[in-house]
Amino acid sequence: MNYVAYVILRRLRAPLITLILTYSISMLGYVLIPGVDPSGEPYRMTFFEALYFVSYMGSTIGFGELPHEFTASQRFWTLLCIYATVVAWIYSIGAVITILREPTFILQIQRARFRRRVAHLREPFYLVCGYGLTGSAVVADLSRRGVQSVVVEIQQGRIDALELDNLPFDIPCLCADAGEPDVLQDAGVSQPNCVGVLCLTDDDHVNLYISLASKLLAPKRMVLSRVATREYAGNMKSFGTDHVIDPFETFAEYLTNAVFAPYRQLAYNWLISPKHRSLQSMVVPDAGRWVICGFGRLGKAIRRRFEQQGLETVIIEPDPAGQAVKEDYRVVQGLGTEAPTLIEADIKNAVGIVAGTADDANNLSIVLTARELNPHLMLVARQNQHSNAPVFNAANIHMIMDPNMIIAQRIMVLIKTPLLIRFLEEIETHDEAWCEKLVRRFDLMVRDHPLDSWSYRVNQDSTPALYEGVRYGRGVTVGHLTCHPQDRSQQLPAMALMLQREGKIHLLPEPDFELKIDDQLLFCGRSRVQNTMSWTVINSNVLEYVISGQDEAKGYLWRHLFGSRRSNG
Amino acid sequence: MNTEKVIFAFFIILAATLNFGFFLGEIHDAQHHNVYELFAALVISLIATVMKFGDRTHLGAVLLATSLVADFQLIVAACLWGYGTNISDTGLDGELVASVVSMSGGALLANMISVVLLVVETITVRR
Repeated sequence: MNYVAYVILRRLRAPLITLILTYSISMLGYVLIPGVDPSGEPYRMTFFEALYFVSYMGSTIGFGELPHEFTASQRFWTLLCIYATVVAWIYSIGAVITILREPTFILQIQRARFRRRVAHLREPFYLVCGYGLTGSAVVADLSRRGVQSVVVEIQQGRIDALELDNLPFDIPCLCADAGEPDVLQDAGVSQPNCVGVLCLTDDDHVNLYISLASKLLAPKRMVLSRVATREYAGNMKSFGTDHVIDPFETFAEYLTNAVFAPYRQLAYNWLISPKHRSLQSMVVPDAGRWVICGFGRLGKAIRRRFEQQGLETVIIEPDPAGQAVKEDYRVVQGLGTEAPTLIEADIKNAVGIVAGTADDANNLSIVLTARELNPHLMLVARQNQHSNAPVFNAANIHMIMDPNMIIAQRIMVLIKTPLLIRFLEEIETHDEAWCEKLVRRFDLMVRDHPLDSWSYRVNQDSTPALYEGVRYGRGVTVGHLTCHPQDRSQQLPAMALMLQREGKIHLLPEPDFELKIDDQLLFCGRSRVQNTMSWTVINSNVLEYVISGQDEAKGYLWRHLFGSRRSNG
Repeated sequence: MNTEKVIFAFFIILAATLNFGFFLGEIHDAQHHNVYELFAALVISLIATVMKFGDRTHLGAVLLATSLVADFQLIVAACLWGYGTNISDTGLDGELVASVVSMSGGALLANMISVVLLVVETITVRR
């Protein structure tokens, strides 16, 4: 802010000096030029009278010739002074307005306002660098969960979009290059309530800069970055970036899981994205050959994973030499949008096709042509533009890869609750049958409603009722929590996924599993059930009802008068 | 050589000398104190103040402060003079002239500090 004040003052020097000089010369002239009073005696103005006259003349108020009628020489001087003072004023006011309208000055003001707003944030917040499709999805999701964020974005257009996005939070945003350390500093990277830095710009190099700067400025801060190339991923991991997300690798993993462990994949998908795919939509592809169109970053990532699993692949690539395809690969040259190319790639005997080019129209065309040729194909398409979502959805494709949404979902998993990450890791160790059972339970519970997950810890601050209940040995079990707090014979559409006790994991605890102090519980269920369940967890009367079926006496007095009678009778 | 600094030095010293000229003389006697000199001292002091606007160095800020003090004292002195010549029933009597001159004496002190700071700054620049 001081900097702004200095800039204004420095720019004001010339106009102010002009005004002072004009006024003082005019005044001096009036004091020196002799006049006459009504009786004809010679008269000279005092400085006071001169200041008075020049002030109202300069501001063009014009009270007439005071204190006495002017002589010709005084009028001649007045004529000069009128023009001089008016010009001086126009120049000064013009200079001030120029300062106020100057872009650098406006930027300084915005920067100062942003810095102040961030510094005044009291609640924990995430610093989001880059408000593109991923950034906006993440910020919207964070706001929906009641988490504050701070946005730095280099394009003014996207900042305007943020202001129009109508988010429930007032989000401080700044149009600046997040790669500059002082921008990060202003955005609160070293503030204790900054929970993490999310580098989501389109440029790997900028992301690298942000990660580096935030790791140096605030070494303990969680830093998460998206990357598009493996070199940068390695580089970022080397200095301790906490999470590096490559959308293509992530999707390749996702796709490989979908092919080899579809139920595990579905369970995973349901837990990480609220709008999950229905159980009926699941396709279990047969083992066989896959056709990959486009051997760019996505194609390479998929090919590598399929190769590890021993799946046969055929690549369709318009420029095989440019993509450094190895000799032993089966490659067909072409786009894949025409039938002859696909037939050459033996599409009729393939089980699936991946349309992974950087052009949405080509991807759609590939998928539709391939389906004409072989209706049993599993179709996977990459969607580059978010605005094309309706077309891709209408095309009835089995798996759509939207890099931005993948990153946004991935980030939400990491941000949501550490317990969920732990649970997802546990899923990896279980077989398909186990996952299928889990998904069927999910399906029974939520049907087509969004599925959400949340966690509790048994302690005094966050779950006072549970804490008391456990401490007084009331025998609180997992099952009590999933009872409806208004009618305990009803079950809430929610289930306990995991219980963590002293580092040990208990997967899918049974309803009669008794709780202990400091247990951490992970639940999932319909998205609004969390609010209902919080009643049981926080209000000890509700918990007592859920355990015993009786409405407990509430106040101290009531409990004193009637509590003992009940225990007697 | 920094032209800005030279011009600033000119105004600072001119303000101090004019102020000194006005201050010289019998404290009660209006004859010894020229009103034009007071006017010139005030105008030059104001210009010197404005020239220090926006200086981010510590010394610049202190110079601005001393200039502001001088301005303040001189403005009060000018007001007293104006009161004496235009408003007061007794006119510009010895008592008022003494107040005006003592106010300008305060301003002179502030201007002297400015000059000292200026000299210090000039000496530290070994070019």
